[in-house]
Amino acid sequence: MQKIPRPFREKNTPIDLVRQFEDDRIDLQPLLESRKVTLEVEGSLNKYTGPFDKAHKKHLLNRCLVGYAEHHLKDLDNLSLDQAIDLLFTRHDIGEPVNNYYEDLSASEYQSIYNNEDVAPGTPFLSQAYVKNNNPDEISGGERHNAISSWLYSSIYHQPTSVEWKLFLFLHNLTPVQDFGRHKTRYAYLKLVYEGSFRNYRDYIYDLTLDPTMLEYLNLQASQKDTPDENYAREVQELFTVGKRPFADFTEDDVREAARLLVGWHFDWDQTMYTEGWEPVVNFNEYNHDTGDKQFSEFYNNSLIEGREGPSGREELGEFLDMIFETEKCAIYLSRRLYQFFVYPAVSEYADEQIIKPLAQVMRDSNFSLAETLKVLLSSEYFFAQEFHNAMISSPLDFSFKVMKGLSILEGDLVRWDENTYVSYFAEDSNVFHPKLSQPDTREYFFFRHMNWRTGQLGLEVHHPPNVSGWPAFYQDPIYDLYWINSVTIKARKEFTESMTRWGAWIEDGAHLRLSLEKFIASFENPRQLDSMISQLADRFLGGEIPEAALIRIRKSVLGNELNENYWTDAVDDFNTTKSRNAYNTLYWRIEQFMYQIFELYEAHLF
Amino acid sequence: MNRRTFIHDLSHLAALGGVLPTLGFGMFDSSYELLSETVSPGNVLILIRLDGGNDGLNTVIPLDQYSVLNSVRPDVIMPENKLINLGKSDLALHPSLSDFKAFSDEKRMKVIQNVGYEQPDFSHFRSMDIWQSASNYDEFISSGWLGRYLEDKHPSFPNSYPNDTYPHPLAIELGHQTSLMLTGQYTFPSFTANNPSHFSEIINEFDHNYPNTRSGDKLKYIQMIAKQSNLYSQVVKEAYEAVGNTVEFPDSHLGWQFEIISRLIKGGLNTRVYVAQIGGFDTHDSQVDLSDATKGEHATILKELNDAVAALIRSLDASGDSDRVLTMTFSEFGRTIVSNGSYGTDHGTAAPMFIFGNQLDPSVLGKNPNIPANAQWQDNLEVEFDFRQIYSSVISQWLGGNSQTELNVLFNEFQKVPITGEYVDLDEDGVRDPIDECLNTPAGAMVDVRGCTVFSLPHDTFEVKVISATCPGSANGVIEISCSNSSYSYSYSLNGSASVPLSQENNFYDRIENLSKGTYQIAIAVNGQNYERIYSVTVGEPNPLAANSKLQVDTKSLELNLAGAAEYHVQLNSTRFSTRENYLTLNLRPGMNRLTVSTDLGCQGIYEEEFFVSEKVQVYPNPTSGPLNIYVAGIDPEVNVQVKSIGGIEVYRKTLSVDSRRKLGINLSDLTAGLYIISLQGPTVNTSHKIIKT
Repeated sequence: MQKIPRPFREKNTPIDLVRQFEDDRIDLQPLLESRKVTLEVEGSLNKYTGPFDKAHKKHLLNRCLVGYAEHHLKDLDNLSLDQAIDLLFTRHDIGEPVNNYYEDLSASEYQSIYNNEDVAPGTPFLSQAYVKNNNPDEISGGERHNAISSWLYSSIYHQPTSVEWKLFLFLHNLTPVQDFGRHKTRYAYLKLVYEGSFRNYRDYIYDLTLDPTMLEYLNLQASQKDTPDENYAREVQELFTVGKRPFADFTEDDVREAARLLVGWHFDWDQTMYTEGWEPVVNFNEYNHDTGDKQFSEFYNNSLIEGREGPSGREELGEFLDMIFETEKCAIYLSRRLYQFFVYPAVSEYADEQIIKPLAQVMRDSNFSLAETLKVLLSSEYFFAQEFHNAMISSPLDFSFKVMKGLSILEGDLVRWDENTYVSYFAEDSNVFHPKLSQPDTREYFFFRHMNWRTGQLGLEVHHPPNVSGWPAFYQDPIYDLYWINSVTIKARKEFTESMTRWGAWIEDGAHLRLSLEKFIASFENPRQLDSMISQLADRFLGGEIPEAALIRIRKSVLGNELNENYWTDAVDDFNTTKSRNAYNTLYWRIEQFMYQIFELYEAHLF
Repeated sequence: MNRRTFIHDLSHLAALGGVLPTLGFGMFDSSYELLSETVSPGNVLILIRLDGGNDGLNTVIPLDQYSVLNSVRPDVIMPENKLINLGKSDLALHPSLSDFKAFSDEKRMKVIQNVGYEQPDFSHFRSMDIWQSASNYDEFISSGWLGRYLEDKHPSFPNSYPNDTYPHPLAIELGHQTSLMLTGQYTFPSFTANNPSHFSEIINEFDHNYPNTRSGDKLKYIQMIAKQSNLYSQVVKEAYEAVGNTVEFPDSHLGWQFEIISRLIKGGLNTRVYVAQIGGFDTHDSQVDLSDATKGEHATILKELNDAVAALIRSLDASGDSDRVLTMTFSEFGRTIVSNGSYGTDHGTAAPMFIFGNQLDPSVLGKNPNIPANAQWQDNLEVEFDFRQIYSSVISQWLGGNSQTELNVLFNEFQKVPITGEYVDLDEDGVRDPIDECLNTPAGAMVDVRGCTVFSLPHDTFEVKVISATCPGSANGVIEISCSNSSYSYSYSLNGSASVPLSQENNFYDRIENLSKGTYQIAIAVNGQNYERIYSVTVGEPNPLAANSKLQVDTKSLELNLAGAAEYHVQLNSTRFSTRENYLTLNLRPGMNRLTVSTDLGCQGIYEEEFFVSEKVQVYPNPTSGPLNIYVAGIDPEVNVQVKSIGGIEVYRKTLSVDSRRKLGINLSDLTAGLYIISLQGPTVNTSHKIIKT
């Protein structure tokens, strides 16, 4: 029965949160009643002028980063709100995935798959002209696909102190595509979304319409002029720009007319795949375009978009988008989505009138830049209202990244568990580890591939939204962020924190990365003092104050009953001075105690 | 003790949960047997952890060494005439331990002297870790001996737990701690996500009142989910509430823990291991009062121990459970021989352990320690027994386990000491032979606490099912009762009403109809036996009929997944039938097929769908330079053929006759090279194929 614990290597499908929520048969009534009588937050978009202290900085970072780390908080030291906003809206290049997968398969397998299109380890591979093989519909290289997933997760994880990746998640959720497994077009979509929030949103939607993965996901690729496919024509209005009826009362005819207008755009697979560069080739096929006039409803001011013959048929798309962005509803809908994602998912009438509508004006004035609009929202007195601090349940990504970063797992010790004695080996016993694990890029490849799988188990795998509406926790009234927690995910989150603390994160071949006790202890001010240690841990991991009784309980769990606090101090000193295995183990077990108890507090799920 | 306090900590008890995503909450609602039918709960071990390092020399005093002790620990020694003479081995007890003396006289207390380990460590943390993990002084094991014992006995934990055989937590830990002792190698048997009290400060039946804020609303929700996911909380709560205590427990932390443990044991909880703890033994100063050495901190804490143990044992006596309970104390180390200048003692080595139980070998184990007359602060007591000898003996003599178990748990073999004598249970019914009144129980039979067979039926003997929910506003719910064992006759009653027979005459089957929405209790009794089984089922309002179909083109069949009812009425084309299967495979005919599924309840709606099944078509060669052969199975005399480029441009369209060999041919040599889609349509054909023109 001896076995290495590797629960997270099992290949099971990510959890369906909506279905699990239904299976749990949760009685929402008391919560909805409670929500009704929750205090209305009043305020305006006027610039926040109160103190900008640690609580406000944490609130801002919670909303702007994906599970922020302590060093991000340090970046805001001595900054004013304006300076902090400037920092957070600094732009960075998205970068490109590189060949860090070369250790994921044997030399002969690697040779046979990548021989003709090999790139050196550490260099980008996407621009390579892929070699056409016998199976034109398939592309080889699950490793490259993993490398892109790893790169995506790694980029989010290593984010600078900037809102870019949070905005990426916002926009990815608003205009999602499911990953089809293709490399070049997958990257093209991710880059488009990453940059989208800082552009004119109408231009972004133009490019999104012609994004190969979107063409395929919502069927424009296969749309035929005789029977135009309505899928994209509907969603571009309902989900991406003006919102659902009855808020936006566009008609079914509008959908049909849009479908006629949009037919004719196709991306060229061969030109994209088998030539240099990753930028997709998209063509307008004038022979598969409906050249008739397109008449839109009153909602669109009875606009008529004239049908065009020949190559000029491609101009209709721009005209169509201009028409959409002229509606009053478009900016309001987009502002509401920003509000729901960055402030609070449930929207009151007050918020709609006093915050969202003025915000829509900001958006129009800023030429539909989501980033510029968000700047105003995040600087407002309304945003900083106490009620909104720690008011949301963190998404699986925010939750798991916060835990990993708070424990500095990635910077931790490489350990391996002996199958029989269960004794751990450390990096100094290097013969128990495969040499490939000493290579940082290979380690990142495995580590973030694992994180990708992990967050899926908790309910959010980036680039794998449940459907074109995105993740229900971000939009589904009245449940919203409650979707993240159900009877399965609450255990999965617990199991995640326990195994991260106890075993560390699975890398490969039984090797784990586990928190470095030395670095961890050193990351606290005055770790020798138990109460100081507990309050700093609570401050780092909890969305809210640590309950007094929990504080006492954690003290007890570390000290036993009524032991003197000096014993804790001695244990820390003993470890710091001797670094002996005994001192290490004694202290590590107590740290485990800390972490188990901290992560069991409900406040660990709020942010 | 008030009820709120108990509930506050209730879920600490329900410690052993593991991660059980596959089991739905409320599995215990569906069926339970009366407690009188409970099988033998087996032996129970209660461990009392004395935190801080107990001063053994002032707890169990070797009278033959009294004068030496008087000279080397003058500040803490108690007057000889105040000590309680144990009446054997020239030993005396601390004056606080008057009930211990009584238990010794009753032959149900055992003292083991000089227990410790090689190369003693004087750090509380490290020494406690050694005791709990049962490791050598020079190795570190990150799991506990009891955790490993439970994993060894329950290798599939936590995946299929709780289950019918083990519906209760395997171990319960009181207080706020997760001890290393109960941490397994692979699982956290005493510390789990299902344990909501670890999550938060819970009062009043798990309902902490969070403020009416956005943040508070979220906490309320998470609390509700945590409570709902705790599979053990309900059964522990039920056991606790099943009986009260007749013995009064002292108002102390340990008394409070024992009161809960005693109620859980009496309430029928089949948990084998309990852990309680008491702190305050780290008596560096004020161990004794300046004026009276029989008072002071040590005296107070030993009195708390004495009173709580006395109440526990008397309470178990009163309920008739004390025969199957063994209670054992341990501490991380003893204290120095010499007293220090502040009326206390410092960290030492060996110390005595106490064991209580009715089945004990009550002799004192171990020699009286030999105190050197010139003892200095660095002198310590010699270790006579390795603490793992005691663990190993408890496993083999009390908990049950062979030498392989010991190896798995303790990684080594240790010489046994007599505690209760060898564990002998020849009929393997879980009741030790000395107290087994029926020594030859057949294998697998269910036995009572005396070890004798009780009448019982397997859990799946009866089936009580809600066949049909009721539509809103009407009463048309149906419950079905059936029995698979025809050796007896039975009767059932609905919500306590008159009995209805369930026998050969109705083929052991009955149906209760016209039920309105609500929860119903159905008690099934076996005629002529003292046996009753109670089911609680809920007739709800139905979910809409759910159907999920998957067309299998190769086999021309349809896989149909149905949910929402017990019986479905299916019509496929002109064939009608009813079924209770949730999963069906239906054969389709070529061409159009029409499927309708309905249930007894109109309010569940009807599922209708049409499926077109194409005859098989083969297109070859592919890739082709031009000529293309098409094989069309079936009977269609002609088909429409259309070819489009991948960009969607039609390049060919024609209606072609199928020849007698079911073949037709076209030539695409005029087309430019590339990928094309060829589509074929007819009354029973509708397929598309990708072809490559070279």
